[in-house]
Amino acid sequence: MLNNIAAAIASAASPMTLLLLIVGTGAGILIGAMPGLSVNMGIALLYPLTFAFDGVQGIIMLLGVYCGAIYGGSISAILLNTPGTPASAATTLDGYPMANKMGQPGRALGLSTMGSMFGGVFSAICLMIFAPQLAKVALTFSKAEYFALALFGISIITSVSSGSVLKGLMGGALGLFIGTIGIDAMTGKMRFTFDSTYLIGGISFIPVLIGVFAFSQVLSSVESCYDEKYEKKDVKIDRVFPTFSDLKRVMVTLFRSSLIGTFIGCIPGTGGDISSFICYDQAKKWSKYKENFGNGEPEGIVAPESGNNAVSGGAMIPMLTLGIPGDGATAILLGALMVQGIAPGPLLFTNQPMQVYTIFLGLLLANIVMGCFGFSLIRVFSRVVNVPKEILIPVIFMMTFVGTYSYNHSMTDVYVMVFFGILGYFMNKTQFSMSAVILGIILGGTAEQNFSGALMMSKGSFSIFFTRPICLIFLLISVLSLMSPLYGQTVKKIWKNRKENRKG
Amino acid sequence: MVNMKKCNYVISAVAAVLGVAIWALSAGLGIGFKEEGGISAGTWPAITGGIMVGAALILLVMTLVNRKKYEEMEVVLGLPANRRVYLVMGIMVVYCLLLNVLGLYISGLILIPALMWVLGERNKKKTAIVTIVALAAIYVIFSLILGTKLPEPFFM
Repeated sequence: MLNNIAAAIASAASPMTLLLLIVGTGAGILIGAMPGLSVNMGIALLYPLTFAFDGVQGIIMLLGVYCGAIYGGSISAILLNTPGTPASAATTLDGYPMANKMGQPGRALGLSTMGSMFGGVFSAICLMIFAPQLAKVALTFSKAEYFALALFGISIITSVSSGSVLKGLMGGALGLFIGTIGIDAMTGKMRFTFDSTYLIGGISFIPVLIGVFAFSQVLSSVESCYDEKYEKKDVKIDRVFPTFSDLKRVMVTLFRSSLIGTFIGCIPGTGGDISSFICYDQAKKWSKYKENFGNGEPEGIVAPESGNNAVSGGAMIPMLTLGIPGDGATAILLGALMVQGIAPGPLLFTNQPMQVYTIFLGLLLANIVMGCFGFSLIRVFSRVVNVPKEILIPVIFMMTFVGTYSYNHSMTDVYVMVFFGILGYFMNKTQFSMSAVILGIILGGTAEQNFSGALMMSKGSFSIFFTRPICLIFLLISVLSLMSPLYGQTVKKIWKNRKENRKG
Repeated sequence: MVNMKKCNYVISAVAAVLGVAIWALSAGLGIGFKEEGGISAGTWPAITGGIMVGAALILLVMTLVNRKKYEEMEVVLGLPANRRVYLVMGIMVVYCLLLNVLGLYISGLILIPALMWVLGERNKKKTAIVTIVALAAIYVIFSLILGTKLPEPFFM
């Protein structure tokens, strides 16, 4: 184990890895800071770049993008009252008043940087402590449990489909179907290839990913910026380091929100947006300065920021140990790991321990680099909120083409990307979830192979799925998760009524 | 005006047709289980086809039941902002063809100014600077630093 840790430190601290980490984190902050560009889009756009590097180095770069983009969202939330990413929506509540009403943008940005870095580092440490323990338990799993786990992962489409669960289910089924195209790994038969050489290898994950998360999102930006008047925002940022009195005031909130964020991140189907609002709510509940919330309260800034950044480490616990992504961004990271030959799951910890420890350290370093960037270069990053859409959109479109082509040097991949981008635009319009499609593509293969393997173990009897306790538990959770939209509203009503009765 | 009710009918029909087609094609691959080889090649896709058909039917029923609710939900597809998106989509399709013939850099010289113009930018100097800087950055990062092969013109 010590050998692996030493090798991981050497790998994570190598100049090339550090450079990639710095580039990834910086790019992530820039992407997150620009309203309209999401964390998922950032990862999807920069994903093809990682193929030029050794597997883990590329993944560390993506971790930098992931952490940086979550944090970057707070910059436009504070300066423009427009969250760069949904995870920073709660930050606008106190960040914008502090920056504008109180005239202290530097203080607000400093507090958000402190909160983001603290939450990220806290969750990375939790990941290091808890993930190996969970993996040890998961080592006893057989194919039946793996199938149940994959099914559980797929079932979170109900949570990521905010618009319509039924359409989420359709999107998930579409993703599962796309995942079956090509040669069947178990029987060697061609499936849905229609004599096309391209389809024999299956539809590549990367073009679909860039299409649905980047291309379609930029098309949406083309629509949303119609008739938008460009207004340059001049912000004078003074001191960004939080004062001792501010630190003293927010310390408890920092710990509480980081803990909540990490825990929420562990629950598949949640994400930074849910975490930040829960943390904000809890901070308000426990604060001595309740009445100041909404008027630039420091606790109201650090709570959502530490909460949403803490999700990063939390979401990686089930992703690395069980192969279940916590949210859309970790679903893309899961796909990235698989493409790089790193198979998340309990066996990862025994088969590729060095890679695991490098990822742990990478996440920790990404959060530290993010904090350093935030404190030292916030004046530079805050300028990107002024980049006009007329410049940004064509450049991102170019990047989608470059990224897609550079993956396989195939023009067919480019056509696939454009097709899914256009399809994604209309699917977004009609309340489909893009994350559901991606989840289906990523987890479909694992689910199918383990479903088949489990049935072979039981000689065709389905009882194997119901007689193994862990498998049964995961299947039940999957069913509950899939059915949650049916009973979720009723449960919410009951809770609300109870709360009101107690108050009354 | 397009509302969600109409969209849901179309989505249900498309999903049902797709699901049935997947099911039919899967049947040709074999559906079932063999002790030696596990599930047949068509089993898993058939399940996905089944989910698709099931979800399509439920969506149809839900839309019929909640007709009023879905009628009130507008899906914005015909505003000038949407038309601009369709224009950009058209440009992208043409760009795909140009990319194959002229390569990334030459076609980029057409794409970036065209998009900036569609997005309302009329300053020629600004457009030229953005185009050159963006293409130069792609060249330096992808071609020089990463050594990535990008689409080349047919004459090279």
